Amino acid sequence: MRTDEHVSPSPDEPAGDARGHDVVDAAADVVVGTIWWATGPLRGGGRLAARAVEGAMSSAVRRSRWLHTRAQTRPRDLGGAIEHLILSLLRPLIRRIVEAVIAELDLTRLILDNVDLDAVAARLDVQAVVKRVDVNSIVAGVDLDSAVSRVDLDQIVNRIDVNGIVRKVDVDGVVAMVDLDSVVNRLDLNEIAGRLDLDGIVARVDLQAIVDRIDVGAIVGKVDPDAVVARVNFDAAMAQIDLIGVAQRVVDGIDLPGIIRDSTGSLASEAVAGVRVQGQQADDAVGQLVGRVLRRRALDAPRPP
Amino acid sequence: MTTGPLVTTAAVIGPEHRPAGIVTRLSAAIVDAIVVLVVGLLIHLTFAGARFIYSPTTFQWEAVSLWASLTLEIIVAIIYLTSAWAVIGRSYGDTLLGLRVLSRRRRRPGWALALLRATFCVLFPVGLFWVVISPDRRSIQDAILRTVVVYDWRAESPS
Repeated sequence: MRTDEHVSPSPDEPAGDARGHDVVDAAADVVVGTIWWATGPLRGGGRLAARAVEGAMSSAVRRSRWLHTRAQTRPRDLGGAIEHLILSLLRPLIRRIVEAVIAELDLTRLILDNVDLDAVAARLDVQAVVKRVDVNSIVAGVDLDSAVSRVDLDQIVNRIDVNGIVRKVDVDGVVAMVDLDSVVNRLDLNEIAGRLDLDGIVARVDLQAIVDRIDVGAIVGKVDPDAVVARVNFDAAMAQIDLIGVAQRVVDGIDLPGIIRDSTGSLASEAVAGVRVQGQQADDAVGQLVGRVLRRRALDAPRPP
Repeated sequence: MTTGPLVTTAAVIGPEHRPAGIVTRLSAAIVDAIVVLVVGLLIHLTFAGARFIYSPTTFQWEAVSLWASLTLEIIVAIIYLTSAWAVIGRSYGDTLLGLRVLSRRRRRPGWALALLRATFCVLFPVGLFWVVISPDRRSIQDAILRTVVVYDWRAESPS
């Protein structure tokens, strides 16, 4: 048996579990080959012994009538019987020899020193090996919980370039594939709202900037004040207002005597100013008239004293 | 003759502080005459009331002589005008019409000058009409005493 009987080039096979299986198979082949090689002398000796026995038996058959009769009656079974006999005699011996050889040899060292495992692995038909593996049974036998519990997920996550992954993701396409209605229907919005810290959220909101961005004029322009006023129950509103008290506070807040005094003073000042202006105009008119009578040159403005 | 504080020409006789004409000054004089008449009447009533309180049973309205009344009014007018011109530079009629009396040095008239001008104005009121003839709108009193009456609508009195 050769170690490369089941080996074929498979450059496309990736490393991993298949590589492990390849190494096991190669090691098994090497062990068997080594045993076969180590037992070569024994087998040669066995074959020689079998030939010698066969020659002796043929001579005995020719010399013994009983044996000749037995041989004539069952001629086809003679070779098989001889071989069976020989194997029966040699099997315990072979077993002990092999066990002694195996116990004596360091097979691992022998393989590492004499076998080019890389070449063997490169020539393994990993795909075929993998196809022969019952993955389901292997997975069924694995304790995934314990395996996962030994994994440091935080370290793995820290090594992941999440931003790079996200950049490669077509978010729009993913969102377009999502049935948002069904997602929303499964959400308990009341529970989510109850868990929200609305005060904290509102505290971080720049309300002034939001208000500045609101076009209040446009909003007010859309309001129909007539409809709003028509819906107001003025009678009920007026009934709730203490008009007498309001009027009393208004009157108390107004300095009516001061207003009347100022108004009167203003009227008097205007009247006095009117009298003064008219008096000056009358003075100028008289001055011009006298100037014409007296034939003066500067009639409009009298010279300063 | 003493005069009051200086009132500069620039401060008082500005574009609107030119000498006043006959109409304005005559109107102010009429207002002052009414004030004097009212004050004289109040004085007469005060004396009558005092006599009534002193002897109600014997009280009778006495016929006041023209000369006595005229003398009273002249005295009241002189006192009234003197104090008004010397204190604030203007009488009530002057205040109403926006006039101010200034001395030769453009100051508020002093007590002596105010007394002379008031006496002259009361005893010779016709001299006011010289304002019509005078090129710089001075009355005979102003021409003799070197005073002038100007337009001044400011409420405060120049110090």
